[in-house]
Amino acid sequence: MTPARSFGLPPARRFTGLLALLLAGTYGFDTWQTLSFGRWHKPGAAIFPIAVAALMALSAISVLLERRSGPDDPMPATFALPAGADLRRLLLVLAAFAVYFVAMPYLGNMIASALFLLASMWLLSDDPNRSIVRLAITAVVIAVTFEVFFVRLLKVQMPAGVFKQWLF
Amino acid sequence: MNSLQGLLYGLSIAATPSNLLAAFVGAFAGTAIGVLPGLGPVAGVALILPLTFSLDPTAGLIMMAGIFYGSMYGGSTTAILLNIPGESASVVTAIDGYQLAKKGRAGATLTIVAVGSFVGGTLAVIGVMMFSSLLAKVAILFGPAEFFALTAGGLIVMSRISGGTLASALLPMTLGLMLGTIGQEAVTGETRFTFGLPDLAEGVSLVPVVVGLYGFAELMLLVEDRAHAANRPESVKMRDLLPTRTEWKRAVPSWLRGTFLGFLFGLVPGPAATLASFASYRLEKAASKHGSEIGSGAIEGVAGPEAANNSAATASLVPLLALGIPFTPIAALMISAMLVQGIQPGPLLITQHPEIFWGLIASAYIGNVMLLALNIPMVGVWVSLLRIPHYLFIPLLLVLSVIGTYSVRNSIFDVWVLLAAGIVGYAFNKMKFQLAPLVVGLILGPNIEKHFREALFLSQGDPWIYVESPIAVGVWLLVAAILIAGFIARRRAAFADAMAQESSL
Repeated sequence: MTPARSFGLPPARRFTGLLALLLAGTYGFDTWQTLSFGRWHKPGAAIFPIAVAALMALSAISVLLERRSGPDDPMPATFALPAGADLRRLLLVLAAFAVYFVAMPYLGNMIASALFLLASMWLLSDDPNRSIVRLAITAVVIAVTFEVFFVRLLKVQMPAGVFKQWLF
Repeated sequence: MNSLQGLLYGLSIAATPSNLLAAFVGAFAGTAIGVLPGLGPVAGVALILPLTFSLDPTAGLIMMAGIFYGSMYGGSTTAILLNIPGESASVVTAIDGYQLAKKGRAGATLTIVAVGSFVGGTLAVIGVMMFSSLLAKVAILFGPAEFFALTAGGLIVMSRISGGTLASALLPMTLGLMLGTIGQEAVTGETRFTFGLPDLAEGVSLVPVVVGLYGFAELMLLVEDRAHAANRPESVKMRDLLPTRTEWKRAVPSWLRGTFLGFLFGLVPGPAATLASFASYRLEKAASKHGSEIGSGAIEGVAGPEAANNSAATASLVPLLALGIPFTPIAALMISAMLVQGIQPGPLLITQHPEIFWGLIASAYIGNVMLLALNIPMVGVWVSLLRIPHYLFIPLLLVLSVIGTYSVRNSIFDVWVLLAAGIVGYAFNKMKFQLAPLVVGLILGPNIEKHFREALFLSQGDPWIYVESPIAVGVWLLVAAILIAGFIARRRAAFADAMAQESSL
């Protein structure tokens, strides 16, 4: 396992606060420009979003103004993010996940699921002697089981893809 | 329909073969997901909850109740066998439960927990029957101003009781409110913040946000954390499951005390199950004849808190269904599942849809019965699930989350929302922001806006309408009292800490 990288929690939270402030400004500005305010007896669609923008600005400022109360503060001073091989693995699993549902409308749920299961099991397995054939069989069994249970039995609508006529 | 008739009616709905099957599948899946290593019940429930959406509302809700109770039981199993509390309510179970497991009493402890959960749940259903009629009388007095007080006040209270600093809850909550304003608004039908994307016209769906924040984010944490993979429990044999006569005798008073305490906690909006289990643990230390043994492996330390958290979970259905405000992550998940099924929890539920209210209470009870029948004989299966390697169940659950999310609106866009919510949830987890307020903001935001504007329409623009009725004033006073009590409690705790530090110097 690669050692994790440590980051300061207060700067990270302040950065989040800054992003939230930016979001509040953009959201408030868009509301002001595009939505109607109405009248007191007939309030328009802008009233609530304006209140939400103000609340978001307030909460962003409260995050920006946070101060640690010393070593006894219940909030930790740092947080860890994966690094090296662990980070690579996490990003690869995320990428495989994104590719999975981009490909799903074309390949269909069952084939896309089987391919994603195989890729992610391969990425997540720690065993240096892992067998691609065994993982592939496991992936296909799980994908077919899910297809039968959800799509055939429970009638869940999932993309069938271009191979629809050759499957089942 | 009086309470007894209501419960009998609910039981008649819940006890049909198809609904019993739904309860069985829910309890089985919930327990399985609850015991999966490293994955807490909240994440587990979030991942499998979409399964219930493909069923009709009654069967879906019954399955949901089974998942809810099953996951709680699963969380206790990991607490006892691995010293890993699956959720906050199981933290105290881990203290004595794990000590008992080390003494070779894991099987008997699991039986005591299963029976204790059943006792707590059963007695709590009787209590719920008594309180529901009172609730029905109050519910018909609610109008837009009272609903506004309830939802906005509930949101304010939620921001202070969800743990962490105020900013840690306020920022995610406001983000949830913001997401709730996307799409067509409820009063005039005007479309907002869609940026020309047709997928956003219907608004941000609750399911991908919830599954992403709790389920997907938790799976991302598991991908990076391989430490759990090394943790392996001892096997539990069938003959080890039977507690001794002394253990039964010692457990009964603890179950009863825990049930009573849990019920009282459950009626108060807040993280009832967790507070009840901690309070019960303290009560057992003070009231039990074997109080001095608690902490080093005493059956009372497991029996009391487990009955308390189950009783609180059942009783908490009353404020959950009556107010429609989720105060815990699991409650937020349950509300989101109800909304997908077309059920709007709130004060009018019990009067307008008694069949749903009682159906849910009855299904909670059926879920408890099912767990008792399922868990004790199948304990070996649950223990073996603890040995499933991460590389198998993480991809499996990811596929399940995609199927569940996609199936709600047949939308790939929702799956992108799932991914985005997962990344936000992961980042918020790392930076110690609370996740539950985001979901609650998303659930309550559209309701708050609707009631706020409807009240102004009704009063012809007179803002005093919000504080005219005794109920609205009562709700606001209650909110103020909860905030002040919380403030005083925090000041007292800080003062006690400072004094303790001073005396130790």
